[in-house]
Amino acid sequence: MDKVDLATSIVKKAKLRGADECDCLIEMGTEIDIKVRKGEIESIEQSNFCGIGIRFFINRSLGFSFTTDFSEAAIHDAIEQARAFAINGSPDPASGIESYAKPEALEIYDSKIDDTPLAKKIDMALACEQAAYDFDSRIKNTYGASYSDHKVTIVLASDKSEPIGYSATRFDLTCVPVAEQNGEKRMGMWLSTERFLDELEPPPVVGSTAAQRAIQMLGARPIKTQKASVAFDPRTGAEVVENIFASVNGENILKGMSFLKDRRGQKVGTNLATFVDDGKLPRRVGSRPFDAEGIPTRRTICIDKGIVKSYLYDVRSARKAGARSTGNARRGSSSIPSVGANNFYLIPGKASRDEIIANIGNGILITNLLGFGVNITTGDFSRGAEGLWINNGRIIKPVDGITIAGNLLKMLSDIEAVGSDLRFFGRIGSPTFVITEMTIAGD
Amino acid sequence: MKQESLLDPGIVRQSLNAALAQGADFAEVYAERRVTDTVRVEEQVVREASRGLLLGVGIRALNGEEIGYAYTDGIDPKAIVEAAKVAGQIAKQGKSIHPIEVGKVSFAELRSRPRIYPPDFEGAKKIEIARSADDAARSTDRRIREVLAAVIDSDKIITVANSEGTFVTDHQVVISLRIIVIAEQNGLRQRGMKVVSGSIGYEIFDEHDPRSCATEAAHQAIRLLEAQEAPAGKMTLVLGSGRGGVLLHEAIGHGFEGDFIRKRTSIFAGKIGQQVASELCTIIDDGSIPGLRGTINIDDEGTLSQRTILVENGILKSFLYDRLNARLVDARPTGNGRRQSYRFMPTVRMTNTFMLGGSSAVDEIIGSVKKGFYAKRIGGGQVDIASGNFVFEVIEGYLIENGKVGPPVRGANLIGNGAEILKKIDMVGNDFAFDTGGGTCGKAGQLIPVGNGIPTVRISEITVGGTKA
Repeated sequence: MDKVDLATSIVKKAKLRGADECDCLIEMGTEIDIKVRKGEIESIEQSNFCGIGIRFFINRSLGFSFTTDFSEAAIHDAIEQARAFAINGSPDPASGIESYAKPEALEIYDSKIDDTPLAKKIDMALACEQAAYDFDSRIKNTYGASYSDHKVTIVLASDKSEPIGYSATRFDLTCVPVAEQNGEKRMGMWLSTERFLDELEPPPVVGSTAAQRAIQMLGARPIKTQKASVAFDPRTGAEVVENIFASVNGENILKGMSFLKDRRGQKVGTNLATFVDDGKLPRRVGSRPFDAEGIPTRRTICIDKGIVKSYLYDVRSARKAGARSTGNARRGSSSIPSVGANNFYLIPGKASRDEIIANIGNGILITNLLGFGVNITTGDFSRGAEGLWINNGRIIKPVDGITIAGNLLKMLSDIEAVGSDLRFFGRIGSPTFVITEMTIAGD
Repeated sequence: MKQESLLDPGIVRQSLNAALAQGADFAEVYAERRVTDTVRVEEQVVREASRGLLLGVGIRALNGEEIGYAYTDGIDPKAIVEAAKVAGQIAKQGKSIHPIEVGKVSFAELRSRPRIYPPDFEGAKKIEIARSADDAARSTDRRIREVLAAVIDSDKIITVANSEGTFVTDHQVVISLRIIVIAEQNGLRQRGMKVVSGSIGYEIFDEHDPRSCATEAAHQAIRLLEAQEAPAGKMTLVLGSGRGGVLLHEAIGHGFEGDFIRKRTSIFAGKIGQQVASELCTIIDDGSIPGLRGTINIDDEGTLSQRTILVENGILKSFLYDRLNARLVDARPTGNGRRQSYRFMPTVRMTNTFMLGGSSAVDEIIGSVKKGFYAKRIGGGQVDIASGNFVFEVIEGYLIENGKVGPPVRGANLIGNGAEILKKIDMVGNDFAFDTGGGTCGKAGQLIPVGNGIPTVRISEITVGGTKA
């Protein structure tokens, strides 16, 4: 059966079983994942996936079910299960489904995903790894390089609106070489993720960047425990930006789980702290015409020049907060919608990375972060780190075995420089940026 | 006990033949039917009550070191054979072999015998457990602002068949209760957490009362309201028993996984027989202990789970292997080939990883430290396999002053190096305990339930990553 017809028929059946409101989201697609190592193919995976998610409301009580089995019996069971859970649940006045209009089309599908032969995809992964070996003779081993692509079609039907849908593609190129010297091993990692094949960083760039990141860590040692300036490169910066996303996530705000609760309108950061979520950025990985509840995506300024402007919402959290959905509902493969990022990023500044480093007296450029250790409820931040030590504006040595610690609220008000080198890692983007002072724990 | 094969011998034969037709030297069919129920009570309402059915088949074909893999959602015979052909394309040359004919399916010997399987426990009762946890946490203290209580169960049947004659099915159950409590005082908010989980049925709550678990999480959040800044720098560490086993998982466990050993990317590769920990340390991975979160009857390649001694009295004894890596380095599979679902290829993973108890009393260990850090409860961790550097997060920590447990401190990471840290264990407690919560381990994009255990240990020196320099 056609996906649109299937989704529509499921909604109809759910209504017949007594749903006050209901929707059905079908996800279908294909994925290819190629891993190579030491110039040979390690694995090739080619698969088709599909899933149906059903939301069933009775008296504002939600039951949900998900199935990868499209047989008639399985779909029947899924509807009955969702109904049973709705009956056993509790009324949640904020829950429900909103109507939506036909979305605008977005450029998020690259037909090259079908037109490119498998052999060429394999060659891209091989070229990526080879570039790492060629970069430096101390790259003698790798965890491999990989190419993967992913094609998905989403169809959403509800009892409120006409069915809507879109198709999207995604391509990933990753390389993880190991640098070795006198028994010491250092891993480097670099990746490029895009919706369009030709926009991926070329394989030699991904491979040599990964190699460079491994080589630069050879000989790293901890430094003394001290307070100093901390710069994040775009890759590690994106991890901090992701913490900021979690802190403006409307669900976390409502639960009192974010340090940015009750701070709308307050100045919490420097003028350089502007964080935006944008679901309509052309050709970006997080872009999509509508979210997991059918609400059109948009651009939302969350923190503007240091002032908290808006939190991010799905339908339920928006209703609870007395606001409108910002088009941020996301669903995991088998879960109810919750707030997720579209493209969430720190707006870039004007300075180049080199200018930023030159302006640091004493500090560290963080190139790798390890572990958890971020508590968005308190804002406490403590993570394992590696990086390059900067003395009088010059990188002088690699550092590992340290932690960097501070508090996200203090970090926002200590952003003293933001670079022009914005780069996205999946749906989160960051340029290089500098925090005036954090605590470094080492020797 | 309920077991049924997801595949009949006919479809197994057809798909193995299809996977081998182009010259692969090994083929495997893995079918899975997993039902997951999730109940979450948040903001005092049932935020989620859901059922997920994951049903599908993954086919793997090996050609030397090369792997072809394909999966299909659902269990349609035509789609399975099609996926087998796709997986088999990995072998473009080579001679075709014939699979060993599979006989009747065998049932895995049960290590865990759940009494109350998830489908036999009504949805309404699952909601009731989450609600009672919510209620208990809220009535603990006026300062409790929010409670998130989730009951998650997974009821999974797997059937594994391969070209070497394996044809086995297993029924695996995991139940968990996760409670997060937010307390607030003078604008400061803190978080307490308690997780209970095991490969056991709903009788898990006979032993772990949801209300007491919630109260424990609430008390933790309240205690943290008084916490001071954590110190920064090197100091003596006392690591609490049970959950502290995450140290072993990160510091050496991942480095002992056979894929990193075969590829020689682990710092422990080639070190069998060498001293890697203090002689007080004997470290084990064991997937066969009834009831723990990381326990499995068979792994996802059909190998029986087992007890593997990783380190004995400080000496590196052996590594962990799945079939592929064992075959390539001429070792034996240790029942550690695991995968998140049929949508993934199996890789080498830990099960329950723990260190045996020693002779020191806990009071004696804490009493021996003049100035140090007591990490009573820890959260998650991560390791860089190549350098061996690892971190883990402290969620409940205290200063130790003159041999006594002092004031609580706010969360901080601890950082160390796997090759060095276990050599610094100089006291081992007599209070060995498994972590009743267990954890979820992420590797290569796959999440797997694992267990941990450790007695209280003293580590002469580690870097504490607080803010107070």
